[in-house]
Amino acid sequence: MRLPVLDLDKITFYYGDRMVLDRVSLTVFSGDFLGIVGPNGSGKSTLLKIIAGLLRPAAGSVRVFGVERENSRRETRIGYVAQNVTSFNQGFPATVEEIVLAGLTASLGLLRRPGRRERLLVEETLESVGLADLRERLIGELSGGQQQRTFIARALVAEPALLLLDEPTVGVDADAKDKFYELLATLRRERGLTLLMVSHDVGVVAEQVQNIACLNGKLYFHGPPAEFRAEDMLCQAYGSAVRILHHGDH
Amino acid sequence: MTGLFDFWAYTFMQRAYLAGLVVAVLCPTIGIYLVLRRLSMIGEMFAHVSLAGVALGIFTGVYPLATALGFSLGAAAVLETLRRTYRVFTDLAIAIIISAGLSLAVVLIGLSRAFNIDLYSYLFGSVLAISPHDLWLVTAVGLLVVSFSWLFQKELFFIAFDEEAARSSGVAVDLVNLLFVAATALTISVSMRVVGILLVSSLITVPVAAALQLGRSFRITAVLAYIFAGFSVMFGLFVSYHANLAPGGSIVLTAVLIFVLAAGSRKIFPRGGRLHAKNEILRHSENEGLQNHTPAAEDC
Repeated sequence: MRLPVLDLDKITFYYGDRMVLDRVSLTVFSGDFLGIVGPNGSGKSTLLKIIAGLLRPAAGSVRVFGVERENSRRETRIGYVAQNVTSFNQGFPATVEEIVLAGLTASLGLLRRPGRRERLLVEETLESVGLADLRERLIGELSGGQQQRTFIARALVAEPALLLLDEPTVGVDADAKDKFYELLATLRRERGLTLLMVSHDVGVVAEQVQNIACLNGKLYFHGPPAEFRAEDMLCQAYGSAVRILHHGDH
Repeated sequence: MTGLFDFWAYTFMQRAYLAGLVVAVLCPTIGIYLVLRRLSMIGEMFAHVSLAGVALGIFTGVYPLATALGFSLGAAAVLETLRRTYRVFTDLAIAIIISAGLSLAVVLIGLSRAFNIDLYSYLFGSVLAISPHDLWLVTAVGLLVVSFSWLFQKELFFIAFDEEAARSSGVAVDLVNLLFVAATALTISVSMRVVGILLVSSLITVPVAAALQLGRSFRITAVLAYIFAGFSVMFGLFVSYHANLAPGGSIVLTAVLIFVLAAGSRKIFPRGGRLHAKNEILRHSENEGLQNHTPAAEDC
């Protein structure tokens, strides 16, 4: 039987008085590729940040490998690649290698400096994302797709079991997008990585993932894409967005 | 006949150079992270607060460097409280503390009824009047801050590049930030003895800004910043001795000149290194890209 990597139980979250997540429960099993879709403001990114330990839910629990997640404790089994990750200071004087090495900061712990073992890990990770030849390049000189892969490598170098990706293909051209999904497939195959990806692009996600979760404050659907009858679910989950579209038509 | 390096015979010049060298190491150590995090104004903040500390020291007869240090550490605590407890934007919090520091300084200077020579020496720096006592303090603080930056280098780098990613991966961001602000306060308090309150934040930012024009990696940028700051202090002191110029001003003017040259060389050779890099990437994609079994470098 496959292990649950992640177990969310009735996660509720507020921004001020506004409820963004309403008792969202979700289980992700080892080796799964789950796509979370939903309209803007549906709480997708918020949910990911809660799993990543950046936000604390008002109620509910996050269990990672059966153990409750505490924000204060470091959790190296989860890798997180944030939204707009390529919107950093493009003039930052850091090479691809230096950035990926930073991904080992937490697992090394305080006061320990990276040594040979860590440099080897960085090299292997750069090989696996196809950036080995660009390791001495400044990050600002790379294309959007290459930068995206650098940040995935930074998350992967700590050898997480679960990788969280927030809108990873925004700002990446079509060609790089295809390569990006190829890379994800390779990583799943070779590393047995469990993937959780947030996207607003329902069509593309349905093609790529094993399971879909449709979110708009509440969880409206969780299952394989074949069962996800887009129209029905969209009407429920995207309710308000659909109405706005009708206004525009008149 | 006098030689160019006769000044080395004077102990006050030896002390000036030693203190200057420590400060030349200290300022870029802190400066590189301040500049990359776009927090250069924190330098100004500590300088203004230090002025209030110095004024209090002179007014009460306490060792002014000690009161300046105390004030700076206090300002560091206030800054963190404003940011975290009251959710004030960092730049606004800095502006508030600058105002508080400067107005307190003005009041204290008024109370002591004299804009005396001591205060003047802190404002404009008095590296030539550095006492053995000052030198000890500068060196002790130097060792402390450099050890901190050495031990926490990977955290400081990660936080400067991407604070959120550092936090989500489990780096003790709050702790490191707190220590960093304290290290900044210490650096500015001791550096102002050398270049003066008015110019201390320049020595923190300008050599780093020059290094950023040329650095091809974080490590190289840091090394260049040290070299530029070191040269600025050495050359600035040398010129100030021979031409009888104010040392603080000479040091910072040298740093500014280096920046102009660095920026200029980049203008004359527009991203020479980067052009080279681009060609190499293209060559790679033509020759070897297809041999790579994983999605490789060809999508640039």
